[in-house]
Amino acid sequence: MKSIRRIAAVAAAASVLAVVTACSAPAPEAIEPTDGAVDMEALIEAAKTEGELTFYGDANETTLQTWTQAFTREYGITVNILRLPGSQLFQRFAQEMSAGQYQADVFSIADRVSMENAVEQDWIAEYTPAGADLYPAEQSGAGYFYPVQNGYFQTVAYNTDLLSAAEIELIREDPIAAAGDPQFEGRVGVNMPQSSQQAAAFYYRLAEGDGAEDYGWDALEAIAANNPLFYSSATLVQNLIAGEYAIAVALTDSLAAPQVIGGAPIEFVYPELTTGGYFATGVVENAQHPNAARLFMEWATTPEANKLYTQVTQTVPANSDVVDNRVIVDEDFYVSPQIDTVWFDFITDADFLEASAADGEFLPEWNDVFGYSG
Amino acid sequence: MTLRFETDGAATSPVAAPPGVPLSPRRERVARKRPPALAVVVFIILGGLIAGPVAMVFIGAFQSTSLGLPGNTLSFDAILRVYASTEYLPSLFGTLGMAVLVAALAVFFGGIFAWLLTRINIPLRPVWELGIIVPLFLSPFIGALAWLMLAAPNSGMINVNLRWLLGTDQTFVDIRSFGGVVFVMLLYYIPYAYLLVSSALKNMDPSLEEASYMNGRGRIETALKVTLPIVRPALTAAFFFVAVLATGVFVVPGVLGLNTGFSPLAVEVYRSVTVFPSNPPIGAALGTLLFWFTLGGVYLYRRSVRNANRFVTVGARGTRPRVIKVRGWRHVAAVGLALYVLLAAVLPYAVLIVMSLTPYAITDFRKMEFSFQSLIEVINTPDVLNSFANTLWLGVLTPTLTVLVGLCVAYVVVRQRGRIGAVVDYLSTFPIAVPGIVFATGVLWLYLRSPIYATLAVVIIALIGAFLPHASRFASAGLIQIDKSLEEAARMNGAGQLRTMFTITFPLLKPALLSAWILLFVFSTREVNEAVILSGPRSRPLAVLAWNYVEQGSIRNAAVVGLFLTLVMIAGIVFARIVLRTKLDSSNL
Amino acid sequence: MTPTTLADTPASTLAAGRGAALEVKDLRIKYGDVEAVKGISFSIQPGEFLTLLGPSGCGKTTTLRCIAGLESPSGGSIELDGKVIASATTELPPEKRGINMVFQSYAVWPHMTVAKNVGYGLKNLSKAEVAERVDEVLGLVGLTKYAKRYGTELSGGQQQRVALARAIVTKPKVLLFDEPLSNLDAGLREQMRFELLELQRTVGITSVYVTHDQTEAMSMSDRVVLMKDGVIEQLDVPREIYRRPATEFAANFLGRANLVRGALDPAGLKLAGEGGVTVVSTEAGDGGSAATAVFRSEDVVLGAAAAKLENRWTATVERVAFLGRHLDLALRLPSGPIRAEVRTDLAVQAGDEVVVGVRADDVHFVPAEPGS
Repeated sequence: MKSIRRIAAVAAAASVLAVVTACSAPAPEAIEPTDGAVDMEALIEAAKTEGELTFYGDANETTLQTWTQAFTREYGITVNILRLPGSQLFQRFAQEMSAGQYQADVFSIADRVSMENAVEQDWIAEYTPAGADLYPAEQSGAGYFYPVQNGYFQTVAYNTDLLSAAEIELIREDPIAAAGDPQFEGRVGVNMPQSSQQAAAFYYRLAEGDGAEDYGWDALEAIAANNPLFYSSATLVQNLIAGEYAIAVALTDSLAAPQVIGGAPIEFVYPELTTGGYFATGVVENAQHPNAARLFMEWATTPEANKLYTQVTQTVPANSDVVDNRVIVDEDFYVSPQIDTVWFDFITDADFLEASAADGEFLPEWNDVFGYSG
Repeated sequence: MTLRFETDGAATSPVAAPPGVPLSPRRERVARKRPPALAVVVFIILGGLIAGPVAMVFIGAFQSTSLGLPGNTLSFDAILRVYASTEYLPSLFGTLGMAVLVAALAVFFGGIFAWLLTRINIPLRPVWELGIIVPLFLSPFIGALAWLMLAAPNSGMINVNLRWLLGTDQTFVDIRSFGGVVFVMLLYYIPYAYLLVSSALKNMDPSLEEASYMNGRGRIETALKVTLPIVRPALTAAFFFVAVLATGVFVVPGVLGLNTGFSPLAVEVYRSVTVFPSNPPIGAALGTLLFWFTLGGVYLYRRSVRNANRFVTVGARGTRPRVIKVRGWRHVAAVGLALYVLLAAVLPYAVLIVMSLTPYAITDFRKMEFSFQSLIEVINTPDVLNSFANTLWLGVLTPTLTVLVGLCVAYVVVRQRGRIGAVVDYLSTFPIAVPGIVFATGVLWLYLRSPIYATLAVVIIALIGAFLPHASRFASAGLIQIDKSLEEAARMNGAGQLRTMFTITFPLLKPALLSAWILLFVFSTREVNEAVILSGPRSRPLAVLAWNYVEQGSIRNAAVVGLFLTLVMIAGIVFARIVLRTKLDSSNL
Repeated sequence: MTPTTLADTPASTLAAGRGAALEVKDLRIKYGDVEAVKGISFSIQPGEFLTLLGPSGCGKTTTLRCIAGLESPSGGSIELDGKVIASATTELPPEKRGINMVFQSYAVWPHMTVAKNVGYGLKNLSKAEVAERVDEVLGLVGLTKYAKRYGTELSGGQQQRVALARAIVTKPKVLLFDEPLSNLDAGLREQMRFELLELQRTVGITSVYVTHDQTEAMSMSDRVVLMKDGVIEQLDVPREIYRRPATEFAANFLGRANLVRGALDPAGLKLAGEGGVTVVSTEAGDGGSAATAVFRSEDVVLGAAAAKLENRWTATVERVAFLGRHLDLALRLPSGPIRAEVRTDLAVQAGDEVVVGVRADDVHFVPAEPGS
């Protein structure tokens, strides 16, 4: 019996030792810019030595793969992508950073508020890539994150195979009213505000924001009266194409456009009072591969990288040096969003943030109106 | 005056002191009973594997936000909201009701199938036996996806094509209804019920039924009056087992049923950690709520298993019940089985294949186009090879380690009775009571600061904990049938406990252990509940890759990966059949 | 008094014999590729108690189960009262044969009371009638007090009686017994043997009994079918098989046989055995052939008592064992070892040279085993 105890103790100790020594090499030193500019050659060399980086993002994974593969092709540095839906991604990132578990090297998220939160917590490293100036200042967090993955806007999309020309015209004229029009009863699908801040802001604007007068809760109730089905983002567009319903409310153009290009029988229109936002991407503080991460940001801010991203997602290029020659623009139905009327500032709107918080009133009320059990 | 000696817990009868020997007036010396070393080691391992994560879930429920996040404090908000308010009551009742319904139906159908396939000479028996188990080889969410594609009310293949074929506008099936969710869940739980009941039927003393025939009762009467009452404990055990599993399922209702009116608790747990605004303490609190109910279910399950063992007797010459020859209605039964196999096994796979080959979600046969785009996209995914390697690691390491630990647990429980045996027994059954995602969250919180976080190792640890109940059940069942005297003989010949275990017990247990291995190989390969929370980008197995595809709407890619996973599982089963010479069937359960 | 031959059977017993006549004709039964029963034939008279006796693997249980309907014949037929109930082409299912069976494991249903167990097979009777019949039969087996107990609460012997009661309450045409006493301890076994036989005589149903225990076979049966390797070795009343076994195997299986191998003279009355031992008998064997002389150990006498006997030899005592009732001697003849049972007051010890003798009447010749 004693021998068993001894064996067990040794085994336990050995495994603990193995596990502990498994992966705790200290992180390499990041190359800091001197006089505002960074020594690219040194950075590239240091990055290549690190050999890989981990990218946390919530955009479509195939998109991210395709995009980052260009980086890999140029520098030979592997990009490991962790893709999770927005809030889950932030949860995980926050948890890891708080625990001192530095898994991410580059952090990218669609929800601006989360990114600002991350900056506040000192989880994002201070780093200004060379191409920083090419991006609009209001959409960047200077020194921390940049909209290298462009922006996206909420649309109302529809399946052209299932609608007559007259119906389509009706939708294009006033998509929100059309979604609430009784003739479309049982043919509507909606995105839930719980799926992203932007979706929540979309509904909030109509119900309680500056759209309350023209639309208000009445408009939402009208949509609810059409017995819509509830799906979030990606499933929403898939089921639209499949024909589960004819109209999809609060579908982002970054999801719809690639499908259109791929030949799916759908089109979309931007409501007059829509919401939009830009992705935020930045280097993570205390990253395990700091130089590779910084090199990535350098690459991501170049016009070439942005052009590639634009091409894949068909979203409006944020880089001022990139010409907008997206294929989607040539589509007959396509009308660009009115940037002036797009609501970007929900991320700092105190009323909205309070109402849409976990203990706020907006979501329960939305659930109530739509009969969504959550 | 008598002296008393106690050795290893076996008290010998009092020995009268021989006359003339002076007896010391002090108290008799009793050798202290120490818990055996193996039991202690097992207890420690179970602590780390199971008790630790479960404890973390409970701790996590008493926080204001996720453990370790800045600004996290002790808070009773989540607990109060879950336990003291009525907010989650509909969800709780709905979940329990659904679980009970699914369990009852699964046992009903599984039991009938088991009886038909063990007692009646159904034509083409091996085909149906395989067909009923085949749904196990598919990740449940992939299967749910296939059924969504088949039977969504507006766009499902069945509805769309029947409409133009028959010229009507009707909706024929709606998989997104409560009935639809129950149906798909049934497809994945009937195999469990079938395996459990079929094992009891095979191990029954045949003379009990033969005596009924000799007394003039025919087949059906015998089945109802003798067979059914005797396997009833096994049926009850299967019922509770499936009910417990069904309370914790989230992938099927998650994929299918956002529109069923109530949200199963496990789906709520998943939402609480994933959907904005996320609230992990609620998830943990819900997890603890589920825990109490499923723990009760596990208790009832274990009681039934004990009763079942009381009734099962091995026949006079170890004979097994032979199949009865029946004319006439055996063909009808075969047709019924064929129908079921078609629904459960053939149809989903067919749909998945079609899905992999169409560029997007058109379900109308007239309008379908075919292309290899999805296949190409999946193959070109840079880390698909890495994911495949991860799946292989999981599929090989997890069952092996789980079976080893399960063997040790079974040994402690079956051979070394006493309090520690009982505790180990209960502890090792816990994981069935905890839904996969809840358990994984506990594991996550436990290992968050360790170097193995986000590696394959932590996924394996979670899976070992989650699957241990299965392994120890197989091992226990096998161990009970090995007579103690075989091991005792080895000890008399000088072999220590460890050597006896390796040279005598282990070889004799091989069939049971190999059966467990194969079952766990299938589970580890297709399991997503734990890996989705615990794996990092480099430790991601194929199942998580498929789940990610589903989440971002690339369901065709998900179909491709799902099919590929099935191929991997089949390859593993074939390998086991040929090289290890073990079958995945009920004879070793 | 137990009848020894059918001819001795009092007519009254036979007349009271309920139950059918069973006829087995050239029965063959296959297990996969192996033929377990290779063409056996016998018939059973109404009310008769027939035992199938033999070592394990001889096919006796298979034959019994075939009569029951739990196995299928691959050739030959079984007739019950003249009607074919089983053949290679047709088969009546077991529940329709009117045959009941007592199983080796008793097969008492654990989920029913004793009363329910016993009454299970009674169909088309009112509840009162069922209760009456069950009561009657439970009285016969002495289990009236246990009617409400559950099967699992009873001892082995009690369960056996439940099985018995259940089997006879339905008044079957034939009663089958599959080694019913083998799971009981020795003392109980002997008692149950008598009780069982009593019961069978009282009720008078045709019975087929399977056992490997020769004491049971001899003490209970009207006739014994001795089987070996799927064929019938000998079929006769117990006394005949005992006194005039047909083969060495039969001789050894029933009781203990002393064997002297050799060749018979032309008249068939004298055997020139191995080692020069000559054995004579009053019954002629097959003259001129190789044969074996068989005599029982209780027929061997020592010393002075052997003086006038036709068969007298010198033997060495190898071992003396005191068995309470008699001394069990192991002796060595020039032809080989023999055993003898003698009175306990005989003064012999190992190593003695003694004279042993057997009456010619007590010797029986059987054909030599092929290859011996």
